[in-house]
Amino acid sequence: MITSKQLIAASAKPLILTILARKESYGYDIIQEVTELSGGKLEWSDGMLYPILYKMEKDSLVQTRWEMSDNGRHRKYYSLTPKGKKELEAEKEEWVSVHNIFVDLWGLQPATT
Amino acid sequence: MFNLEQAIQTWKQLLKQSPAFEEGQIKEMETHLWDEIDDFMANGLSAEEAFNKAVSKFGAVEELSDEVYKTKTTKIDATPPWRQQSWVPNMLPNYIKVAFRNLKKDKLYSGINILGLAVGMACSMLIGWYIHYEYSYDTDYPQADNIYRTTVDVLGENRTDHFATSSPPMGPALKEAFPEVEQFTRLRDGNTMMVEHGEQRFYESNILYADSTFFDVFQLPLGEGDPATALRNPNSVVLSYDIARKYFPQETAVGKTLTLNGNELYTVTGVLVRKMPLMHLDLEIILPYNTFVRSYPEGEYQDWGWVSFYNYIRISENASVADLENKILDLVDQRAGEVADRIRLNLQPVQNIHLTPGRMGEIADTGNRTYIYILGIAALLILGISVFNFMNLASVRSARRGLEIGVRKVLGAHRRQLVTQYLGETVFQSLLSLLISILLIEGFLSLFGTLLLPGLELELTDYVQYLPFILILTTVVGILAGLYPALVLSRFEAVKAVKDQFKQGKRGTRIRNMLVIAQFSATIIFIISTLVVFNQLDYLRSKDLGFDKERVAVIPLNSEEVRQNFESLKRELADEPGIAGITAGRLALDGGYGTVSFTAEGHVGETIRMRLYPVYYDFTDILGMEMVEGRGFSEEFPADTDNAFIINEAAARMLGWEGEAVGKGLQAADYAPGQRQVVGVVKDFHYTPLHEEVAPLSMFVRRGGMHFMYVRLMPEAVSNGLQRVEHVWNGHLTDYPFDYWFLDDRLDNQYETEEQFSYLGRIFSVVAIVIACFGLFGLASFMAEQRRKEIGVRKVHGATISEIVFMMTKNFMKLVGISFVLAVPIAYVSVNQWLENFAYRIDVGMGIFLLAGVLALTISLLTVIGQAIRAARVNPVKSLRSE
Repeated sequence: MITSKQLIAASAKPLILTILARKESYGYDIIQEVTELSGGKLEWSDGMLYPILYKMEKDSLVQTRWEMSDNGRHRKYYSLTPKGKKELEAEKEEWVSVHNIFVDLWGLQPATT
Repeated sequence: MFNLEQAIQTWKQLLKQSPAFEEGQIKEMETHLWDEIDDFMANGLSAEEAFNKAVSKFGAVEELSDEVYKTKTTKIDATPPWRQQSWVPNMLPNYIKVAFRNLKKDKLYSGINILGLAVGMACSMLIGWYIHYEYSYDTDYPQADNIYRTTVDVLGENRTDHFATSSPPMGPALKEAFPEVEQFTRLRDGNTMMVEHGEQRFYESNILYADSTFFDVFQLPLGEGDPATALRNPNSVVLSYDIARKYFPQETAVGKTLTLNGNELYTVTGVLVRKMPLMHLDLEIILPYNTFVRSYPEGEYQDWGWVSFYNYIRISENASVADLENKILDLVDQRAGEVADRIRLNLQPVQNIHLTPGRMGEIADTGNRTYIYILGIAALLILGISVFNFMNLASVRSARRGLEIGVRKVLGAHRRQLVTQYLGETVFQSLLSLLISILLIEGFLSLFGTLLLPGLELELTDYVQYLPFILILTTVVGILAGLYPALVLSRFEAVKAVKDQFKQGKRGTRIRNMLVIAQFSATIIFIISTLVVFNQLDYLRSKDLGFDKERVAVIPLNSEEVRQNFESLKRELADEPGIAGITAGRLALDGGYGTVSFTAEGHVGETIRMRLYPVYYDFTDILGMEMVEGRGFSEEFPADTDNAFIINEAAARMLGWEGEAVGKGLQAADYAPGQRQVVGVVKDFHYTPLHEEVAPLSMFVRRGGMHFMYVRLMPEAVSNGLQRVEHVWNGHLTDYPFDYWFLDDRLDNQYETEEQFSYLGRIFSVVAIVIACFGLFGLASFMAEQRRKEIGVRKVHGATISEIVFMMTKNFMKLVGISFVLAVPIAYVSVNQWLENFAYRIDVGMGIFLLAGVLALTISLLTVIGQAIRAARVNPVKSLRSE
């Protein structure tokens, strides 16, 4: 379990961008994906997700649409905008840079871009 | 039993409490929660467990709202306003946003609540304003609190007459004898006169004679002219603004001439300002007192017993009125001569005049302090009813929110927060009601203002000074209303609250019941009072007055020339088929009689004071009065003018002459010269409004000086007959416009105050009922909801719809019944108190009380039954399902 608040916070945005880059998704689904992809190491509180999503929407990194499901529930689907894709690339670069510092310092395996 | 749907809804309410979230975001999160719960339940958790787990996994709503807020701004370290230190001013728009959201949720209840309170507030504010208005007579001009009117009580053998008037020597005597009396002024009521200027020619009846010192005592503003000199010259006249504009529309009036009575010229020496301070005197035309003085012999004006004038004095600032009144006793003894031991002189503060009825000869219509008190109580009652309503419905609404409170407490909301929030909500609603009530008042006044108080200009801005008080009061109401639910309900234990939705309705039932009882008692009191006033009015209008008032046209004879023509008019109209008879009298049978001194046979050395009424021959006959002894006056006995009197039964009783009055000697040497005897006794008839008992009266024949001509018309020929009269009139009196009114109309209109009362009473009763029913409706809906399960169970066990309806309405009917029992004694005492104002009144019978009770019961039943029926018809399966 990853417990450091700073790490959880820092990784949130790139994680979400990555998930959305693969496919369009909605809030609950994103959280499930995060838990799965991290192999259970990341457990986000659901409420944490939304402020980030909203900020991303405000910054035009994502766009949204509403869809009504069979059981009458309104779901808001998020997908990346071109700007969002660029942002993902930028985040990736920065993250890998940091990672590579530690690879050198701590003698880890290098990451693949 | 746990209801998932409802639990989620209440959690959603939590989100709505925060202004940070937008509607779309709330919807999104709700769906999220559902998805989460579905997953948990799919994994085997119960609905309740799933809910609790999902909610706590979601995280603290408060922190979430902070974060979401931050996303909206670009400041690096934005703290939401509600986290900031100085929270009130910043919070306001947010609070309002949340408050509106909460209102919308419960549109029906909120609407009823706010509207009910608004109506109640509007009513009580209107009444409050009216009361203030009535109390502000004679307060708005300089020195008003130092001005006093002298009034006289005339002590008779077995009665004392209280007059608003006094006699001409009093004013001057007071000023001369006592240094603290700074100035005096006398007024005399003028008769109707014809006023002309150029082509304009009207009868004016609002004419007063006033001493030249008038404007010294009453420092009223003159728009034109000099107050110090305006009334000095005998042929001057001061006009009100409206009268001046009527006769001199384009020019200044001062300096111009008006012709009075056909040939008397008066110069306008002053015009009053347009907006006069509110006062008991209705000033239109003021003539100098020394013009009047010429009408009677000089010596008359020294008679202390001639109480047909008004004296006002201004007393110096620090003088003691009580002392002065004592000193006056001596003065009267010294100066009043033979009437000294029969009169008592009082000082009445001018500010008392408007609201103190009961003295004879009042110069203008008075209001009535008792009525004002009653109105004040009515206002308080209505306000009480609507505030109680408000509190009731507020507590109902919060009972429904018990679940929400429980959930919030699970998530850690502090009690203080909840309390503040509730109070905030109710205060907000209360202020909203205030706003609506002001709009209601504006609307009402613009539509009906002139109906109630014609000529009134209401400036709401005059009352801005009361605004802080009203705001505080409104806030207090809001706090009171929210206090009970806020405190009590926020004590709920969290888990129990979530489980025990069912039980919540029971709390506070007792208080609610008491409030309902209070409301309905007040309403029933209103209804009873209104019914009584209505009945009394009806009685007054239909009571046998002792004469036949139908189809009698009364034609005023407004100048000496006209009066002299009376007999020729009568002769010429004598053979008209449409006219049943013509007679005349000095007065118009609607009051205005003074007493005069008599001596009577068998009452040696006594001065009898009695009213004296000069009439023409045939008066009693044509007006259909019944003679119980002797005969009426008639032209067959022309000497009646010199040697006859007719007295009424009351006079006969007073003199001890019942059954044997005819032939007794009776003299009133000063007014009806000659040796006279009683020739007839007339059955008591009402010549004053029915507030007063019929007082002893004596009549004699005079051929001249009749101020009113009475023409009785034949039934089929009312308008024809009148036309003929007008025709003949114009033949003799081209210069004098023909004017008339019908006796029965005029008499019916005597009870204007009572009419207003009846009118207002009906309005208030309706308002009270409507408000109380709003409350009842709300409660009934609430109860229907709360007992949904119980009803379902009963239906399953075979109860019929009518049985259920009965069960549900039973409680409310019981409450109304209790209200009735409480209301009746109070109403009984109050209406009897009011009826004491009238010498002639109805008996308040059981019927009225029963009627009121039945009315209240029926209306409340109708209000409640709709909800009861609807609830009783619900399919039990539906209500029992959500377990």
